[in-house]
Amino acid sequence: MTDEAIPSESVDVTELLHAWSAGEPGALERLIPVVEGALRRRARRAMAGERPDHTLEPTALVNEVFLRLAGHEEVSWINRSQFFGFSAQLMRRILVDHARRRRRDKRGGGFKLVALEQVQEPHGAGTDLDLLALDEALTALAALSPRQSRIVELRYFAGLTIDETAEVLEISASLVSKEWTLSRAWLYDRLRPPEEPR
Amino acid sequence: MSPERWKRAGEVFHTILDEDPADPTDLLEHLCAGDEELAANVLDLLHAHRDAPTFIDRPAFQILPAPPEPLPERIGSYRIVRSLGRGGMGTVYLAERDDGTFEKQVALKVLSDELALPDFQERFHRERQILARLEHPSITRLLDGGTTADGRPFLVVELVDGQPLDRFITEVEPGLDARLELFVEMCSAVHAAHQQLVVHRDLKPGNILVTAEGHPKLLDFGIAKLLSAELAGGQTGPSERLLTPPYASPEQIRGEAIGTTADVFGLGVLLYELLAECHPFEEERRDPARLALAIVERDPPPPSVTAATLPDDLAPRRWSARLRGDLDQIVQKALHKDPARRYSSAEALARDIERHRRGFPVEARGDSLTYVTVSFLRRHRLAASATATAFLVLVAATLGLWLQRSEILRERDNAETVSDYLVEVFAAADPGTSRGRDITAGELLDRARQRAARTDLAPATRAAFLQPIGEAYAGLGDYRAAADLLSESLEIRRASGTAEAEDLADTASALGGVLLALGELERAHTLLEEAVTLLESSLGFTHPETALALSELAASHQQAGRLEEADTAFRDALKRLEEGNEPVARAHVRHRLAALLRERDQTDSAIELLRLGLEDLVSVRGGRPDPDVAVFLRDLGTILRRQGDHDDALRRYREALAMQHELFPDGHPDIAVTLSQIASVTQSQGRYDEAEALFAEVVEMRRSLLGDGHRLVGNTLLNQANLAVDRGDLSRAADLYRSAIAIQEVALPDDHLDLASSRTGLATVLSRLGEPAQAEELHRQLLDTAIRSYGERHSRVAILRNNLARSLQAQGRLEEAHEEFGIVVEVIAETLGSDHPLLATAWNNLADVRRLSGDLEASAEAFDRALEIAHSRLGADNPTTLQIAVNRMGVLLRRAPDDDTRRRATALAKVVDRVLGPEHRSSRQLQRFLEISPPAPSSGR
Repeated sequence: MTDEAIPSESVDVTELLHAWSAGEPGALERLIPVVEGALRRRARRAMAGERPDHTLEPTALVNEVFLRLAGHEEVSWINRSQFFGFSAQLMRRILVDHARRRRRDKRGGGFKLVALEQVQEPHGAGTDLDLLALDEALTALAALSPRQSRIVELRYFAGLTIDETAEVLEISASLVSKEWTLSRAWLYDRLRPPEEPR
Repeated sequence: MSPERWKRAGEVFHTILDEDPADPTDLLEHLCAGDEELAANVLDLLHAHRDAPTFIDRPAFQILPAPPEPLPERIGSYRIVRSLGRGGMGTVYLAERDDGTFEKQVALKVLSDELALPDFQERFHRERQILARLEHPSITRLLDGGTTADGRPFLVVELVDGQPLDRFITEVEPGLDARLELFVEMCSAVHAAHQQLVVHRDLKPGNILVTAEGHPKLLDFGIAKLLSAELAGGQTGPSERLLTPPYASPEQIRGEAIGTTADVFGLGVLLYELLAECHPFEEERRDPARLALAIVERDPPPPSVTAATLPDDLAPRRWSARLRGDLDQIVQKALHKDPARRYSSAEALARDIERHRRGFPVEARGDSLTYVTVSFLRRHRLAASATATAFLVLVAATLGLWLQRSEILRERDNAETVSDYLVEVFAAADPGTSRGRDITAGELLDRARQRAARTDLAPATRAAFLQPIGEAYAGLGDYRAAADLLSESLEIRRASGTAEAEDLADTASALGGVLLALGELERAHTLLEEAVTLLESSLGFTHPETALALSELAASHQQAGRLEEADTAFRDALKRLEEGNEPVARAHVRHRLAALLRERDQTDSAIELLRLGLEDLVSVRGGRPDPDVAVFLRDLGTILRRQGDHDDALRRYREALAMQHELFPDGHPDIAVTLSQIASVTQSQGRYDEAEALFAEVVEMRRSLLGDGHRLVGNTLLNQANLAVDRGDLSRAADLYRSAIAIQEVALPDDHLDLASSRTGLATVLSRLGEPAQAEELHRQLLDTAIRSYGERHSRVAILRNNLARSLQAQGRLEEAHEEFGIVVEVIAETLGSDHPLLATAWNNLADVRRLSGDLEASAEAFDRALEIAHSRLGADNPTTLQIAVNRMGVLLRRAPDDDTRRRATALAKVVDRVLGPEHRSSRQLQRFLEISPPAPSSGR
């Protein structure tokens, strides 16, 4: 029973989600490309600035993908926490890919350059944030504390709240909050431009 | 750094943050105890923490900007002049028609490339549909639309020369009267949209342009929604969650169902801003979380108070005193947290503004009758169970509609009679009356019935009341009560001599249907014939109502076992519908005929009919959720399931369920039926835990809706019992069968099929628990009854025969059992097809009895047939397949307990253990086979 993964809408995602939540081996491998496709599409829409003045809560993004994939059914059948957990990893992959592609485009030049010059880089706390550098730093953080790295992933890439993160990792919210503060300080310290006065 | 040192650094970091000393140096040195590297690391962290407290606080995808789209030269037959900006779903361009016909400039909105996904296309398409139905001077007019060369939809609307409302206010500074006039025009535009069942959902200053002449124009129906498909109380899906926080209504924030009163709220915010030049929640406005909380929970200060605190040079300061009283109250009413207590429409809001301007008392200042009624319902709703209330609201709505088109509304004082009546019925849910316990829909209907029985109602009115109440009872499955009420209604109508033929036919037909369900076939038949005759003379032979009544008559033939006559009558009804264009009626007749064909084992034709019917329905109702479409999908699923196509069946069921969830409140009886079907397929697929959970849900829904003793509760218990048998939990199964029988013996006639199933089930379980003789007698009775209704060679009869054979086998009467099992195999292959999953079971049973008779060769052969079918139709991991494999292995081991066979048996044991668990009956059985077969000689490798 090793079906080839077919990352298209025609896959019966509900079945896959159910199989996965029932712990069926191989289900996750088949599920990931489908979820990734949905997240990519949805994230692209978020990036396209869908109604800049309309807020769509970050969790809602993952949740929306989840609901859409689960086919609006009894979602309690499926472990939502687990879903958020691996969505966060996928979102990280998607966004880092995106950043990498953009860097390549910039270097590669061509007619796209004109348009791209008007594009602002993502911002965080007033400084330019290099997603690729963040990704690397996060991998380094994982070596120090896998849990802290996971927390950043869930918070920053999947947009989960402190409480939701706690639910996914099955630890207390206060612990998540402390680890988050620490990880963020460490990441900022690593990523801040060297010329900035300390 | 090592993880250990990093952990230590984290501890120090948090200790210092907790202590929060003015200068951390001392504490840091103390904590690091001379470890300078650690101290330096922590200091870096502390600086970083101070410098960037909000670093990466906003999730990554929110801050990625969109790349601008290059300006296209032309779209459709329009030349693009320049971009006007990005709207909700795409870019808006200033464009000119360049085919030389006219030079008028237009606004052209095209779906952006990124969003060319089906659901956005759909939304875009909907905006076009919505705009097309709106014709109002204050709504931007749709001029054209089409698809770009690369397949993206676009729409063309009139170009409005104006400025957004907020800029207009600050730049022009109109006086209070001018603002109120402008607002009334806005209300009238919104109301026009509401009358077309369109809710804008995004009223805000940026979406209202004020023209040079000072008139408002409503723009951007990008997230507007059509209400029509959702009147029955739809749910709000995730894509409905788009909103602009400062102008969103509490129900939008809470993600609840949105009605036209959400726009009344939006208008309220706009009115507030027009009057006070401040947002109602000015303080919270910048902070989305606090704003959301304020909108849901807090009342804003009255506009007069806000205006009075403004600087002198702002206009509202001058008229703050004029806002006190009426205008404060009007704003407050428009901004009420509870949609039911706002103005019922934008028009009502405008009217109150007008009344204020002309000095009349405003509605906002006194409680309206609507408010009294609505608040009554709200106060009392809590006592009734959620499902009962949901159902009753539907009943009340049906009743209301029925009354509206019935003649009694023409009588004097009828409006009051109706509303008094409803209030009294709902009062049954009052905690005082119900003594604090949940009330079922059935109990509420009882109340409705008692009220209708009172003699102070005029006969015609009473007849009109009785009919829908009767039909509601039928809907709940209480056919006895339904029959009583409908009979009474019919008698009153007959006696009056003035009833319209259509009304008489309506009642006769409804009563006929109920009597069919009760098995009073002759009376039903007479009534249905009467209904057909009445309708033929009043409406004509080919009128859809006539055809539908004829199809009901056909159903009565079917019920009485006159299947040929039924077939003829159904086809006659279909023929009558051929000429007119009545797809819905045609679909209904096809549906009924499909049920007949299914009963006659003509499965393919039945599927074909359902498919045609579904096409008919979809042609009329579009792809929208629709209760009838859902029923078709579900029945299609059921036929597919009976054919053994579990995956296909499940897909249909899920489609049906998704629709029903959009259409109905939770706990609706139709949802329970679909869930129950899904549970059955899930059970067939061997996913027992899921099936069990679903059945449990269904039983709960039905108990709370219908009461503990309802036949459908009995039905579900029966299903649960069958599931327990599949799981091998026989004592639980026996208990469940007994509970089901206890209900069914009261609720059903003694020869009812469901009761028979429960008794059969109990008998089977009992015989497996050691009582085969008792079981045999019961099985024979059941078989004889079934043969009388269906004939010898029918799949249902085969299943009953199988049960009988098993009881014979259990008593050791192997030859008789063998003969019966042989017939079962034949009939199933003949009626259901040579690869039907049931045939696998039949071969398995035949093989088993051969094994007991000692004919191992013939037994193995039959097991091979069983396993082959099970493998291909159910899959290798299916519990039934595995059980057959285990049975077969038992025979193989007995026949030739060689090394090879033992190895295969051991391999099978692993699979069975993994899939079903070591405690499962099949696993234990195989273990036993391995134990009793002589061990293989030690052969090394």
